[in-house]
Amino acid sequence: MAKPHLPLEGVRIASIEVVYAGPFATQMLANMGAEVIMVESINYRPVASRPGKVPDSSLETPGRLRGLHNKDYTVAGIWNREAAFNSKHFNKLSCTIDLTRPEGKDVLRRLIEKCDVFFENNSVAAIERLGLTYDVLSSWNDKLVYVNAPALATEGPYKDFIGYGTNMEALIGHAWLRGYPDEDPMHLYFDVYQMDASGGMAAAASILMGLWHRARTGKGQWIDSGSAQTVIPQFPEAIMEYTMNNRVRRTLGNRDLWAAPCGVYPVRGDEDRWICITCYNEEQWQGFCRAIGSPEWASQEIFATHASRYEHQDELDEYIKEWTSIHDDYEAMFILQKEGVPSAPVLDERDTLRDPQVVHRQFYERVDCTKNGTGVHMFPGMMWKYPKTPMSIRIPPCALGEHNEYVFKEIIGMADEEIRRLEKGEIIGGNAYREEVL
Amino acid sequence: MYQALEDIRVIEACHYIAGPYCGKMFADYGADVIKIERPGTGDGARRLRPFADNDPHPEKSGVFLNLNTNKRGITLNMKNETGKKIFKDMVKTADVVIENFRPGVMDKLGLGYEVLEKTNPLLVMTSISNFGQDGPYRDFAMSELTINAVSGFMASCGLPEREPLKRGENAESYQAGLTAFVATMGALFVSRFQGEGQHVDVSIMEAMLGSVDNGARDKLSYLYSGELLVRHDPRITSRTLMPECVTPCKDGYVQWRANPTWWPRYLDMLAGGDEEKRAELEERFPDLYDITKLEESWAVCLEWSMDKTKQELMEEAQKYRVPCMKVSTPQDLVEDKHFKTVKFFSEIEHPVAGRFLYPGFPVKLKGCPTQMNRPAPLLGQHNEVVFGELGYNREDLVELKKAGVI
Repeated sequence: MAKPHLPLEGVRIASIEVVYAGPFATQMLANMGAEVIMVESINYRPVASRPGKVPDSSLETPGRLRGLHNKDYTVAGIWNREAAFNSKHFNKLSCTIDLTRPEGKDVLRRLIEKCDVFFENNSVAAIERLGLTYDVLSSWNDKLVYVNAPALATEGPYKDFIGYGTNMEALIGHAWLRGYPDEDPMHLYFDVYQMDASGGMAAAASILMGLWHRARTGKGQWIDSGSAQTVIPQFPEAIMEYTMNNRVRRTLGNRDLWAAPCGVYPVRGDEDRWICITCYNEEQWQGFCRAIGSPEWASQEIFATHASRYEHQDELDEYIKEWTSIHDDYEAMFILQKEGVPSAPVLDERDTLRDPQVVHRQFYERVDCTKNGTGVHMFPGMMWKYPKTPMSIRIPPCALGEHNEYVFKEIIGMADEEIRRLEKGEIIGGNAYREEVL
Repeated sequence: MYQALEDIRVIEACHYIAGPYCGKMFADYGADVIKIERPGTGDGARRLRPFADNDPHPEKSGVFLNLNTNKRGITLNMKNETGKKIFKDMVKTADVVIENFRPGVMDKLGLGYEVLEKTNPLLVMTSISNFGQDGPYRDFAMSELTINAVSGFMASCGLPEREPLKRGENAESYQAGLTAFVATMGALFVSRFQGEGQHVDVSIMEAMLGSVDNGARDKLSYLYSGELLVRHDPRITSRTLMPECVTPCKDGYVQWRANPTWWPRYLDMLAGGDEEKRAELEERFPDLYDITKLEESWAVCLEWSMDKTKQELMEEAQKYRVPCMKVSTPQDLVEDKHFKTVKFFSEIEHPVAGRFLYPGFPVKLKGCPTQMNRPAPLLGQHNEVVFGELGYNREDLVELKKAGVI
């Protein structure tokens, strides 16, 4: 038998995706071999991922555009050099079309006729304004799997609410369920969310299910993958504590409903280094005691049972700190894991590059992205392994409009003359975006 | 109409959260998922809080009840020779096996992929493990907290003067399960359309490392710049007079997001249509970047907020297109009018635990009916019917039970 090819080879996806959740969704499918074609605007780019003109305020605000290669805002093509974009757009293709004009929409129609899936994660209003709703696209291609993945929802009272990830995390209950229990809730502002991760992965799942269903029935369909409802199922314990027992719980911080001890402890030295330790049961507790040399304090009455240790975690933590503060983080992990205790250092970005497990599993892949002006770097790679159909970074991150010729000529079948005419009218590709260089 | 996955049969030999959540995705979208539990004790999740009526009964764990909707449940001792034979018989009829034992356990049981592949060459076997099927951490234990720790994103979460902070609850175990579902679906395409099964290796650590939001982005960002992301205090990093944090109101908290272009709308909102008041505010705060007036501007915001509930405040802000949302408690979420209108939460009746609301479907496939009508199985509830399908009759079952197989 011939060597099997990647799972989704032969599947073509057109995607109008922005920022994080959308790109994450199609990244999974592109890694699995689908031909993902990003349809990008020739005259507008979302600042967070494809920066064009950089507003002054973005330069001042910590966190925004922190991933720009070389932090150089003056060299042309900065939209191809942002880590937020490049980390989620390998194995994909990019074409540029002005969808606000009828001729541009017609180009999209011809592309959609050749696609299996249409995916987007814009606001509902934006898709309605562009006239790219399911009714329209399914009239172009009745076998299309069509997926909306807006931040909130495609229907219901909050359909038109505006908000960023941080607002959504508050609305869906995550902000309330995280944070330090002993700090006032005003610190509950995070620029690290759960919703993009759940939203992206669930949208990928929905596309796979849509394709699976289509393979059997021949029918396309409309899928609603609003991110808010993808993340609520990830907090069932607190939700069911309310629906079953009318109890409203607050954040547990770094602790856990079931474990004791469960905490983040400082290690040797003054650096910002920490070890996390969890014991879910008696067996792990016994292992923990053996690992730290069965100290006398551990035999106190208040630490005799799991329930009692859960009650007295504050006292427990003080003793544990004494032990962790004379070890370094990796050392502590190896000592504890030898006795079967769940434990791990808090790894930062740099640590993940040299962690022995990550290195052994070859998670990072070397990617030459000289064409985008960013050079050669290691990239965070595949999230699971298929032994018979191995995935990898086959195509470096797409530059804006890099695959225009392939898409317009080979997929849509436009003649050179038509391409030149549309380019001249700034309907596709062209020079429009070059004027924005600072 | 077909349910999306109704032609797929899954055998789930999983416990606790990540594996069963992968199985739940299959079950809730129509697959026939047969969950195997250990005779007597069952899935460890049956002993996890919260419990219905606060009663620590193995059929009343909210964790278990939610994770196992729409599945059929059997008991089987996989260490017993007869149990192994039955397992292999079941594998012959299945498309997928999901397991989350420690790496090597299935091999030791004589039920590894190499063995099962011989009975069913099209089989997709998904092994979900903490760190992957090989490598120096292969046998290491993991917890929700340590999943966060090794992800790379926890180091920059929390306040700078304190210990790093994980994300809420057990969210990452669920995320790992969702990742395993996508991985398994991909392999099913190869199996169904190319005729090749395979052994999918899902490492929870890698599912986190490659994830989004301070996942892959900040790792690449570090590789570009050499700069690490650090923890910062949202209460003191405001760059404008518009609130960009959590603030209190009459009955709780709301969360704001600032952007210079929204400053006029924000002032409109504070003035509430009163033109005189609007002009006064503009005069008081002529420059939104003048953070010497931060405390003064916050005082104005708090004064405006304190007579409004979080729901009223959110709706008022949204009326002016100001991105502000309530900080929902679990109660707010369940009772929220939006999620009620879209019927997000589903009510399920369970014979022992009772009737209450469960979180609903993460995605809606409008061309397929979705049903959340089968509660989690009682321990061994479907033994008779599932083993019956394999050709065992009632007397056989009595014998198997005596022998400790089921």
